Amino acid sequence: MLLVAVGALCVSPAWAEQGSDPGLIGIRLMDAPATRRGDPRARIYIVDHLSPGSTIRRRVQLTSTSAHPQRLQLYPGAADVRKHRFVFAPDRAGNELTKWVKFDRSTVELPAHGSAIVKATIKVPRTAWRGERYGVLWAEAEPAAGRGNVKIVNRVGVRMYLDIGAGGEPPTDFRIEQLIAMRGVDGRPQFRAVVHNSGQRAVDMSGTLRLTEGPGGLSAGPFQVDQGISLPPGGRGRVVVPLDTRLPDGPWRASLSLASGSTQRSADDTITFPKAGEAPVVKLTGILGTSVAMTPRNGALAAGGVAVVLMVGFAVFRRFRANRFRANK
Amino acid sequence: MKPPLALAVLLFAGAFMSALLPSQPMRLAAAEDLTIPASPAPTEKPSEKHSEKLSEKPSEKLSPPEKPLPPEKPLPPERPSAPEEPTQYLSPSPLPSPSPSASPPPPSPPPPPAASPSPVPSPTPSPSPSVSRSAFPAPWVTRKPRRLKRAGTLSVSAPGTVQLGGGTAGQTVTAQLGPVLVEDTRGALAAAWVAQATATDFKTGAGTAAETSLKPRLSYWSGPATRTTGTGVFTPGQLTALLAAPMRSTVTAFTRTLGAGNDTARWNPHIVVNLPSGAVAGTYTGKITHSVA
Repeated sequence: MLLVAVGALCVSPAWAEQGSDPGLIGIRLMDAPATRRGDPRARIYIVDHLSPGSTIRRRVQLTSTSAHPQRLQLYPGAADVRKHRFVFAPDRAGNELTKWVKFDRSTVELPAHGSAIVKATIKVPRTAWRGERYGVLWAEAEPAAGRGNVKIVNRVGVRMYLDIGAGGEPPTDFRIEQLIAMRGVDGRPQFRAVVHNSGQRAVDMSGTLRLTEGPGGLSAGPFQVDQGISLPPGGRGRVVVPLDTRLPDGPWRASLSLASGSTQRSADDTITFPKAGEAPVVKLTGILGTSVAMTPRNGALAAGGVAVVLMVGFAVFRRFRANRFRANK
Repeated sequence: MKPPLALAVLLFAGAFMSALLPSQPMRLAAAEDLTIPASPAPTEKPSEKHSEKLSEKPSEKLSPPEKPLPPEKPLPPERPSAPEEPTQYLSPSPLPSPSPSASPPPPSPPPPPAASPSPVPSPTPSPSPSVSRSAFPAPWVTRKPRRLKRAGTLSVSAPGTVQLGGGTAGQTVTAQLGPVLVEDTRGALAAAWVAQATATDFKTGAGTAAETSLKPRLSYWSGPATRTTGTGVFTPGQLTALLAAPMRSTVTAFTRTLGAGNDTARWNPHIVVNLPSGAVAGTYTGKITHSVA
């Protein structure tokens, strides 16, 4: 029988003997564009709009609360907005943006409980094509040689959302398109909304739902959106607000407000949670400023209506063409 | 029927054109009026940022650089491509930077000051300021960053090494990696972070194909948070072992959204290794990375 040892037989992490707390490795962005004073995202991420050929510099402070000296590797890493998430590329995989980023030092030795400031320079080439690029400035801590053979490497970073293009900054905007009151498979009420990123910058959204004007004048909330989502320009995604079983079915006045940085959008409508096993009611909002309730029956009716309108239109068109033809003759 | 129709069309077109023509000078006048406020626009920027004025001056001085440059040289030695920013970067020192090694890296000041005054004026000030002034004046000026005050730190536990235990071929080994702690003191409104986990191949011996076959058989589950503080929605990537995610690709380990203020989250992830029946015996080494941003 083969014995495959994954590491040795000890399961405790290496720092277990060293003491309880391994300490933390931290990163902190120190500069933000002066033009983005009101944008909370620009305080924690590098969010900017640059014209080709320009250069920006950002300082980053690295800190360590570890009782041991730490050696940090600094490098830019690729990232993408995919599947409603900001996804980091593994290891040191790069993209176009990472080629433009240089740190003034590639490694930093932090003494115990020490800190250091490093500078990152982002130089956009003149030939850069317009569009938004994503990346992360990583500070990766190398583990000291320990007894284990599986290294646990931790890295912490500052996200970059850089839009390249001449002229002014493209707009950040998103729309809440559908409000859906439904029940999950376990019978718990759920509130969902479909969000469309109608701007030209990526958005990271989260927000709250408030239910008011309920049965007996009840109000409930604010309920927090389950997970924030990130959407690329033009992307569509769904936010979910899980709710409690004891919540009455309604009708409620639901108002969902979502925010990405300083951009806030909200939608409200009257909703009723369906009985268990019933089809959900979809509210379409923001289409020509109206809100339409879609139920299965309603949907069939609407589809029928559209079909009738199309058929009538086609008949009129044919009639018209025939008349003109006759007149020309 | 047709000639009168054509005439009517012509007449209408003529009337339309005549109506349009006088309106053009009108529009131009309006456009000129608009341009006048455009020139005072620069006054808006100083109001936004006082340091911009300060920094504009040095850059302008750079064009006749002989006099103003030498005094500045000792401090910003590695500033060949950034004429406007010296004022900003002269003062990173006020911050608690206990590593004096940070500032020394330009220990090459002596050479640059001597060398740069002559080469710098020609290559640097001429390309960037002239291009910027002519082509994109505004963005260049507003590129100046502002110092973030009270900015917090996003931190993750220091790294370590771990021993996952052993097993016989065909077995499944589960081990905990030890606690991962993420602390976010950035305190931003709607601050969020996501932690993702990736693994390298686990190798033994020379690392031939048979000896590196573990990566597709690794899976990760975060389990619930062992401790959280602060507000915000903390979502474990995989709450239970049933949801263990294969580490062939990046695994979302933990997310925190919608927090305002400081928070910490701690979890103790599990790694599940499905040892293949044909595995080569040996001690496998590998790397598991948690990325937090």
